[in-house]
Amino acid sequence: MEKKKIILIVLLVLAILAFPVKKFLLDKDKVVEKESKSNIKNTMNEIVKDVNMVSAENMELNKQNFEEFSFIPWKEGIEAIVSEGLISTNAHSMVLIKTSKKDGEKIAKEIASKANPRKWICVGSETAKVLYTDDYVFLVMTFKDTYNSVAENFKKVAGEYKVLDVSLKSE
Amino acid sequence: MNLKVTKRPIMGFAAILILIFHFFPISWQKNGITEITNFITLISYIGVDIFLFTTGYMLYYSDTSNYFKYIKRKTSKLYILFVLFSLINLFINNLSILSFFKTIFGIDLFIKGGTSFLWFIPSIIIVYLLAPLFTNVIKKYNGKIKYIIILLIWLIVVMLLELLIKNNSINIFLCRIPIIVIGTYFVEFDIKKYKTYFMFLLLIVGFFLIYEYGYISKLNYPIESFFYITAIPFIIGIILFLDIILSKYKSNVLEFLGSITLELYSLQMLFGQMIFESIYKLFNDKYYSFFIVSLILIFLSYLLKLLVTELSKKDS
Repeated sequence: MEKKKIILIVLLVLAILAFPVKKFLLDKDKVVEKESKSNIKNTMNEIVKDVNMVSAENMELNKQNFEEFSFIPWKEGIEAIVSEGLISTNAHSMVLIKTSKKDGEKIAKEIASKANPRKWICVGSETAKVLYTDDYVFLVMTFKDTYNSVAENFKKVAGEYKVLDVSLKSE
Repeated sequence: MNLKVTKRPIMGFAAILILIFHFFPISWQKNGITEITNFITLISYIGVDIFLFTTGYMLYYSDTSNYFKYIKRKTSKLYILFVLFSLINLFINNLSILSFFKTIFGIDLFIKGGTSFLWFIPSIIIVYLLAPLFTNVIKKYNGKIKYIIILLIWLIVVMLLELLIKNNSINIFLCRIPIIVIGTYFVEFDIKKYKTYFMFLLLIVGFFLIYEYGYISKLNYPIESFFYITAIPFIIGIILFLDIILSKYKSNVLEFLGSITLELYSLQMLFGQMIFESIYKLFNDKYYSFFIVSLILIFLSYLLKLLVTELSKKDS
């Protein structure tokens, strides 16, 4: 009897969710982001604006947590923010760094040599690249479609950029 | 240990951990509570290790006298489901035929490790393929020394692989071998005296080890994925704790979940992320989305289990 009740409840839930599943197949994702006055946050918002991507949260980085996401130690004169997947099966992580020392290339090379696109345990990012200009470094480990859109938006924000590949060990 | 009785609910607990690991939202805006939930979420990969410990424990009791019968019994259903899910994955994600074959022949496991589709299934099949040899050795020789020798051989092999091979993705499986061996060890050398004290000691020491090496920054030294090894004390502590509790109190929920582990794992890897995203889009509440995605996956797994059981009955 109890089992039947559980089945009925779950069926009801499934019926309710038929709509969002359909919506998902037609539409894609968005990023959860609060209003912010911070420059780096605004820049990240511009980059992810209207981009199809998995659910993610943005977080400004500091001395304490920077290395956790960028794979390199904190540097003086930088601002940084990460857009990270909400769940561990969303292999999505994008770190945007703004440097006041015009050393974007140096930082980008350091990140490209250390970043791990397999940092998730059961999933791995489809693409992993470091985009950079003198002022900006953008580590993108995400889905291929998302990469194309954010790269386009990054160009609008930062201007012409260069790209470094992050090696996937299995390739 | 009472694992012959408590195995099923312990596997159910492991299944919950794996669900949490895959779908419980990680809060990047940290505060006191999210520190705790993040810790639980990000170490919940130990669900796999708990499962493997019970596998190692039960290997000792397996009848491996007829190798082919044993392999057929343990792997046929597993492999059919694996091929079926890989086929669905091929169509859903528009993959190439080559990639499909790489998956079903286990090649992807060696190349991509944990990121290969349903990596756990080819891994456990490898365990079953080697199990008769392993249990023969275990039963042939007395004493604890054989376990030390087996673990030493394992250590030499993984160290050599680390030195010789660039891609060590397979370590997600290789670094789980010790927990299987320890599972078997516990059949022969169970802790009878001071079990509760030992459990607490393992939980306390294990907590610090897993917090330091298996939580946010993960230990990949001296070999890649070494953090699975440093997590072992905590895992055994958890298993001892569950064994003590579940020997006294029956849990129908865990018992039920323990009966659908394979289906639950396969379905969550295939559809889980998509369902989560859909629900999250609709309700914009990450915790509610986790709750609903879990319910849906459990329900679908139950249906799949019923279907497979029916088909097996007809087949036999």
